[in-house]
This record gives sequence, structure tokens and C-alpha cells, in this order.
Amino acid sequence: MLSLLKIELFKIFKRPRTYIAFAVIAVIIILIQIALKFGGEEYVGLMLSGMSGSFEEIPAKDILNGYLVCFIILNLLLIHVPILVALVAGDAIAGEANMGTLRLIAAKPFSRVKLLTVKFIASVFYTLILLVWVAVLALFVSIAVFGVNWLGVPRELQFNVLEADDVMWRYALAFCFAAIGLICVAALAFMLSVFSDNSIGPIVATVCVIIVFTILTQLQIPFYDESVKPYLFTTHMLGWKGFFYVKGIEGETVKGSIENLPAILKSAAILIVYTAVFLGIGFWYFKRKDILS
Amino acid sequence: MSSIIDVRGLTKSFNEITAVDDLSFTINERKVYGFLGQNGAGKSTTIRMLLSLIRPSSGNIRIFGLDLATHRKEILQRTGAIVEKPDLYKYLTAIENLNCFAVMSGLKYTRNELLKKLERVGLSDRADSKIKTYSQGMKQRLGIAVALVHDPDLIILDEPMNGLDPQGIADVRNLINHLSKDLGKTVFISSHLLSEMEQVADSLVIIHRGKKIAEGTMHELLNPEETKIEIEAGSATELAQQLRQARWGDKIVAIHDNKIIMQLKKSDVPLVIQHLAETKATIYSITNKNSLEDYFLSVTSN
Repeated sequence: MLSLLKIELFKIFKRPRTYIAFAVIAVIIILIQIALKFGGEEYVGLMLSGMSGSFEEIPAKDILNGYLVCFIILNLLLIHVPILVALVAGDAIAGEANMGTLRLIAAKPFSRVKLLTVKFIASVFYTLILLVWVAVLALFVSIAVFGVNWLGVPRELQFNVLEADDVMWRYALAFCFAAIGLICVAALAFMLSVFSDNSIGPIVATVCVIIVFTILTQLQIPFYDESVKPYLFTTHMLGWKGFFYVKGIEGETVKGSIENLPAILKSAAILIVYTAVFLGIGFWYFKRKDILS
Repeated sequence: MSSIIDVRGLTKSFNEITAVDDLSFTINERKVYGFLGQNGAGKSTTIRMLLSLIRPSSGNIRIFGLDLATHRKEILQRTGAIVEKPDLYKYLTAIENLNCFAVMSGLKYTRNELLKKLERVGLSDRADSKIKTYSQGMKQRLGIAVALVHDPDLIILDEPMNGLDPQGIADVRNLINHLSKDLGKTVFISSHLLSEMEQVADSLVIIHRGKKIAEGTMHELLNPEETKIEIEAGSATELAQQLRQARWGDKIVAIHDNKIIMQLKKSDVPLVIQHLAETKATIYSITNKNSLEDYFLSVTSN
């Protein structure tokens, strides 16, 4: 199994296409960091203008620090990283079929279940590396460029203020949660990949599903709030923000607290169930599939 | 001689279309078997079923005496194959491709060992070139190296000579002969190049519209008791007249373009040649026309 996994990773990281996602993420994050470096105080001013409370008394340079920049980047980016994950996971089986190599590897002396398992683990590995890349650029580079201070988390009309030494562990957990969400997307793209003989199809289909589900998640229509949104995996992918929402007593935030941990755990569980369902369908179909490509 | 492949009642249907219909044949060890059929006859579908890429609708496949449905892994460990075009990872080099497929077969080779395997198909000097820079013939040879990388006992080759130049075809032919005659491998090979099959195959299985229509050794199928010869003469009409005046008139089956085709018992061929010499007719050539192509066309057109 391990030698097969090594070969799979070797194949993934030998393809120039693999590095597109890393380059895209780097470009986006660096552009956001440049924009905030030179126009950040204005941006923070705009952000605070709609908030309740006397934030105008706080210097924008105190608010604009590496932690806030990372939070802003994750808010903008974590909804788009799944599209980049689909580039590799959607290509896992369909890409082999498209190249004509699926018939060669499926005629090798290991089971199709093992083949799919290795390919999915390799897709997960790629997803995690991509997430580490996001973390390095969004968090550590931002800290290096903007420094650290307390983190003001914007929540509709208010701020949750987190002390500087109460932030890092929240980012660690947020990235772990994001990993669960991205693995769920990888499983969706992987499942669609099993059904197709052309890698464009599953990649586009995954992107379409994410776009439609994200639009539904963000629609502020009461009918959807209870009937649709709780069942969309994209709704639960936003659960990482929950680690930055804290309990408050008499207007003061409670250090080390998480406002609604059960809701976060529930979202994580739903994402895991989605992942299992996507994989279950993919494995079931692939075991029976006639390989004609 | 024990059987390597034993196929019984194999059938595969895709919706309404029956691609392979109640096919049965046996392949014995250490021989080269030609698998012939027109386009769409069901050759590739059969080969894919032998490699468990496609599930049969019904029937049974035993390879090395084991049931493919229950001993897939053991069978594939001893089987190497090219299925249709030998598509490989274009962004990897030849040696990287070979290493990938070796590892997938559960083997680990050193670079030198892999180079030796590439040398066998004449690619060791291009071992570090990416496949996207390879010609079709080079890809075909690398495909054969991939099929042989784990030293299989049974080699299944689907159109291995496609895209090869005459030298490449001769190299593959020599390689197949070497695998069978020197190394004792069993080779099951489908090809459209009937003249090549005639040179490499010991036995044939011919299928048409999914059904087997002929099976046997080359010797049995091409019927050595009866043969066809083609005589190219200065004047076919005059020569035909002379042959009719002798006792050979009823053996003439066709006359065209100064050529006469005769169907004869093999023992009569020297007598006809002797007669031709005595008539002092102008003869440019006498050719044996009992080819696999003629046989194949006759059985598939029926």
C-alpha cells in the first residue's frame, strides 16, 4: 500500500498542473497582503463604520495586524480553495481514463478498492499540503509583515475581541476544520471522477456544485434557512469561523472560550458523513465498472 | 502440455449489443496464439475480460488453472498486457513509467535493472526522455517493456505492431519469438497484420461478430493438403489453353491480368511446374497463394 501511495504522490507532484493551485493561492494571498499593507487602514475604517461601539477611538494600525489579515484572507479564500482541490481529486480516476492508463493500472495485481483507496489518500495528501501552503502564506507571512496584536473578529454589527495569546490555537483548530471541509470536497470530486472518462467533467461538475451550494448557503431567504441550508455541505464548511466566536460576560470576552462548540462539532460530523457517502458511492460504482477507456 | 487460458461460454452484452457470444477456446503453454477478427469482432472486449477490466455477462475464464473471478490477483501477477494503444504517463520519462508499473506489480528494481529492461526493446538510450517526445513506434515498444516488466508467464498483446515501421515490426516479431521459443512464455496476440501473424503464431483463434469461427494450429487451418498457386505468364490466355489441353484445366480458379490462379493438391504442384517447363511458355513467377489472409477472408466472408 505504501509503495503504491508513493508512486501515486510521485505522479501527482510530477504534473505541472498540480502546481497551478499553489501558484494561484500565492498570487491571491500576496495581492491581498499588498492591498492591505498600502490601503489597510482605509479598509479597516470602512469595516468599522457599520459597527456598534466606539471603535473609531482605536487606531486602525492596532486592529490591522497579522491575525486580522489572516482572518480576512481565509474569509475570502476558503470558499475558493475547494475549486483548486477539485483540480486534482477530480482528475484522480477520470484523468487516468482520459490518458488511457486506467486499463493498465486496473490490470495490475491489486484490487480496485485498493486502487481507489490509494488514489483518495493521495488526493487527501495533496489537499492537506495545499492547506498548509495557505496557512504558511496567510498566517505566518501576514504575521511577519503586519506583526501581531489582539484580533478583532467582525460579526455582523459587532466585534469579538480576542487577546493576542488567545488566537493561535484557534487558527490551528480552524485549519483542522477547514481540512475536514476540503476533504469532503475532494471526496465529491473523487466520486464524480469515478463516473467519468474525461477529467474536465468531474472538475467542472464539482465547481458547479460548490457554486450553486454556496449561493444557496448565502441566500438570505427564510424559506431556505431551515429547509435547505442545514443539509448543504457548503453551509457546514463555514464552521471554522466558530472557533473565533467567543462567549461574553458583561461585554467582555471570555478568554479561551468557544461560543458554540456543539454546533462546530455537528458541522464537522455532517462533513464527515458527506465524505463517507461520496466515497461509498464512488467505491460501489468503481468496483462494478467496466473499464472501456 | 497444460492449458494456460481456458475460456468457456464467455458472453458479454452491452445493453442490446452482444459483443462476445458464447466464446470458448483453450490456449496451451509456451506457444504463440494469434487472436484474429475484423474490427468490432469482439477481440478487445475478450482481452479486457481476460484482464478482468470488464465483467463477463456469463461464462467462465480460467487462467493458470485458476478461476479469474476468485483468483484475480494471483493471475494478474503472472500476466503482462498491452490493451489497444499503450498509453503511458506522457509527463514522465520512460524509466519513470517503467518504475511506476514495476512498483504496481509489487516489484522494486534498481536503475540498472530498469535500463536492461529498456534495452530489450531498444530504448535504453532514451530512458530519461519524457514520453511526450516519443514517436508512436517508441511508445509501442515501451508499452511492451511495461507489459514485460514483471517477467510474466502469460503475455497478452492487443495490436502490438500498430504504428511501427517495418524495422519496428521485425523487432517485435523477433521479441515475440524470443519470448516464446527461448523463454518459454505463452503469448496471446491480436493483430490486423495477418502476414506478421502468419510468421509468429503457432495457433489461431478467429472470431467473427463475437463468435468463434475457427481454432487450431496454423498447420491445421491453412490445410497443407490443398494449396493455391499464382502463375504470372507472358500470355495468361495461351497458358490457360495449354493447361486445359493437359489435365489441369479444372484446377484453374481464376484468370486475370496475365495471372492464373490454380487450386491444387500439394503433391500436384511439382507436376504442374514440370508441365510448365515442358511447354516452354513464358513464365515470370509462380507464387504460393495459400496465405493466412486468404484463409481469414474466406472464413470471415462466409
